[in-house]
Amino acid sequence: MFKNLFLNSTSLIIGVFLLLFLVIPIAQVFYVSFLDVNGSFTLVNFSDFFKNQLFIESFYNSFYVAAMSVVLASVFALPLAYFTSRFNFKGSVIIQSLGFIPLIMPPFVGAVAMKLFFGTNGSVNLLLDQYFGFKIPFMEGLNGVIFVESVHYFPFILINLITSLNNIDRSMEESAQSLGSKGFGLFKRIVLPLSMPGYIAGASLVFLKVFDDLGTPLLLDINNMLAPQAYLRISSIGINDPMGYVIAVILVVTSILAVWVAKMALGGKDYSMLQKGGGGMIKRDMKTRQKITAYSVVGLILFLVLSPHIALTLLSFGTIWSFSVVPDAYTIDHYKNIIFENSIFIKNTMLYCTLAAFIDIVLAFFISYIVLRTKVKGRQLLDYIAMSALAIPGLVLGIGYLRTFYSFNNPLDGKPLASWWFMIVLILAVRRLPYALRAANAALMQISKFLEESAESLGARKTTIFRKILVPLMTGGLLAGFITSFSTATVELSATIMLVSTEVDAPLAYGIYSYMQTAAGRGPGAALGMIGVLIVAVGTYFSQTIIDKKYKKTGEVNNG
Amino acid sequence: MGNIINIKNINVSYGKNHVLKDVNIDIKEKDFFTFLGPSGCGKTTLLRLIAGFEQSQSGELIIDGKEVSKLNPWERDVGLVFQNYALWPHMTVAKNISFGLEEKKVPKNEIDQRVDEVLELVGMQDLKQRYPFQLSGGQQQRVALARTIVVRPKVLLLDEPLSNLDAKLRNQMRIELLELHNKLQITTIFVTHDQEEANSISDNIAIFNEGVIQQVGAPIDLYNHPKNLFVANFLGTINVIKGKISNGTFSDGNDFKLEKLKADNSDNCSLLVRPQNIYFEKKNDSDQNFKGKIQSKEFLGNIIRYQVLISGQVMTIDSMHEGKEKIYSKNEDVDVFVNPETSQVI
Repeated sequence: MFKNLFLNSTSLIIGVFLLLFLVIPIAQVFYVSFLDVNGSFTLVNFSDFFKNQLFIESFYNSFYVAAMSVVLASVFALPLAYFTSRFNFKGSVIIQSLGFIPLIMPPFVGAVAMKLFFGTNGSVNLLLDQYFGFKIPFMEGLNGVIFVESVHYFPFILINLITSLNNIDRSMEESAQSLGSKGFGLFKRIVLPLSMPGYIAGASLVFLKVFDDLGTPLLLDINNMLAPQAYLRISSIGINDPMGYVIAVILVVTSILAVWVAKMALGGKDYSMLQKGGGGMIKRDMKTRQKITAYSVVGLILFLVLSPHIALTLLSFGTIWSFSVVPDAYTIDHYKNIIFENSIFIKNTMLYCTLAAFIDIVLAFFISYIVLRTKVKGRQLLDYIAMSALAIPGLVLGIGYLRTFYSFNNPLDGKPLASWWFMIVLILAVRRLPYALRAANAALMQISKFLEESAESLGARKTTIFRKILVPLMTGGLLAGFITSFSTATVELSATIMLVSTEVDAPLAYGIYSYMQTAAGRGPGAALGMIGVLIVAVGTYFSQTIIDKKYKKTGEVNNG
Repeated sequence: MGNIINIKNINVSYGKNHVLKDVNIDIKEKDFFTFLGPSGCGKTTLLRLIAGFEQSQSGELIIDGKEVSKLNPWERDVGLVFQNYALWPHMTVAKNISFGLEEKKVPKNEIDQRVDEVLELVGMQDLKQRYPFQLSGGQQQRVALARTIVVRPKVLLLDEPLSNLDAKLRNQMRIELLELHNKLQITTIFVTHDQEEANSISDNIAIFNEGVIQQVGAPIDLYNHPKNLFVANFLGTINVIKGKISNGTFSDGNDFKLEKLKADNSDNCSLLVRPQNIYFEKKNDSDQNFKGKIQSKEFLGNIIRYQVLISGQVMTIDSMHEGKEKIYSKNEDVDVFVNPETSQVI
């Protein structure tokens, strides 16, 4: 009786939390987009959207940029996937580690630095002009967004494609060879279709990420895209302007449509699960000429992938960097500035992200327990809602928070709740909950149910089992979840940007954004970016190490 | 009938691991030939070598009079059916089957006709538009077979094709395979580690152990006349008594002596007697009598298996369970009879 009461009330509390801080804000966005000035239902906002030349252009641009980023990202990813999966190639390790780079640095952080590197008067074009007498408009208008986004996101295609190729059983190819197939025909008829699910999964992820991204176009001064338009409408015209909400709805609907189209294209097939045993693809040795080509291509792509990091490093240590290949001189003043003088951004980030990650692991622990181990009604719904935060663009959630909590006042200071710093913590927690939940699920699945049952048969209560069995065994997984949530939250911009009312409350990502607005602020902005990258890199490394150790340790325990 | 495959002095090594050692086998046309051995014995490697997916360091591989060692898999005209069937999940049954014909540029109408024929042959006409994941294990097996035989290869290679099926289906597919072989008369090489499967289906068997061919022959010959202890043990239970033989009399050095054996003198040999060739009653005039003591008994349905202590050695004796025979108890003293004609010395 106690057990059920405890579980049901916990589920209820989590449900109410998700309702308040995820479902209602999103619903608000949808609701407001269908309201006219008198508060009654209307479709006129949507028709206004499609009558407005700027919005149509923005819609087209967002679509164009997302689609072209997929194309360019594919150009980067396909040869790399091909080399690693078809040949015995020493560069494979490098290629595999490229996969982590976008996790470490979101595109907006490096956007300005990329401009200094690849812009019209950037390092690369200065060199090209000097030696070859021409320039390439890498960063011209929308090109810049496409370039920055695809350099950052191509590993999503790469990782998925490599996984997909590695999951193809060797016998798939051999049986075709045995029936007379060879060379490109074999590749076209067997290998390519079988790797499609991975490619489409990666490509749709790139499309979504780019389509929803706010920070990169903002920092590159591109306003005629959907996400910047939504932000500018709300931040300049105000939270009662319906257009911001209409754009948010269009962002969500397009995201869902993109996922749906990708699902349709796959026809619900997942080939990798069908075959067992055998090895991956047949790998061949490379001839010298092939090796030269392979290493040159990998080298070039490696340079491109690392260029935002290189450029950001230079910018963070550079004094003045304008019309020159590298900065004029180097200094550590920018770091001093952000660590000693304007340390508020880092302090805020530490506080917000620690709180958010803590909320995440507590929620994740109970959700995963309720979903995997109990029969509480509606437990699956709880899981779906928590995970759905992944699919909602941060900007849309931010707009939803602003709208929902603006009309309530904070009893502590009488100001609107939406401008209270703790709302930033909550939005970060909701945004990163799926990461913690995944880690908690993985940890709990590793633990045999018998371990709990044996404690129960010896007379232990549920609370004792939580305290003495589950929490100690899940510590590694929960810690990994905490670190992932924490470190990725440090560079979250699109959701928090809507909720920062004063610089005093602003986190690191917002600091990068505001510094980068001015030429003088670029140095400190870049230094702040480097700190963010460092936090994420260290966090990713530790959570990976913990997970690896965890798997080794629980390998013996897991017999259920 | 001539040989369709000649395997001569084949050696395969992976680094220091010598997986096939000087292998020689000739396979007759239309034969149902089995490579039998424990896992890791090299049988699958040899099969894949014939298919063109492994390379030998030395030796010759001749298929239909032509040395094929240097040819690519797609140039060999042999069909390999994989253990996991390897059906392409993105193609329907019909597409899977027509693949090889399309690669060979067979005209469209002939492809349709041949696909229908082979589907009928394996009893899958109604499922041609299905995808592999919509098929049961047995159905996938039939499609994998159909896909290979539709191109009419010179040799059909089957890599443990029944191992993924449950026991009942395995027996049924075994019969179907034999019927198919009888109908099509394609030389077939079958790889298995299951001696019962090999015995029931093959014209000839090559027994492998640690990369070396132990013996080649018809199943009954191998069972009755194993050349070595590995073959003797691998093909069913057998009693092995170490000792010496002189002038037709085998002695274990103690009390056990069996006379009138046909074998050359040797100071170090083994006497092999199958459990069903030791009796509790005298059956032939040439049977020789020994004293024994029952150690244990196991009821296996059609037989009762006794462990009997004879001259200091425990031997297995299988007695047919007919319902009326005497059942012995533990520690009971018994007379047992061994016939030199059904015993073998190696």
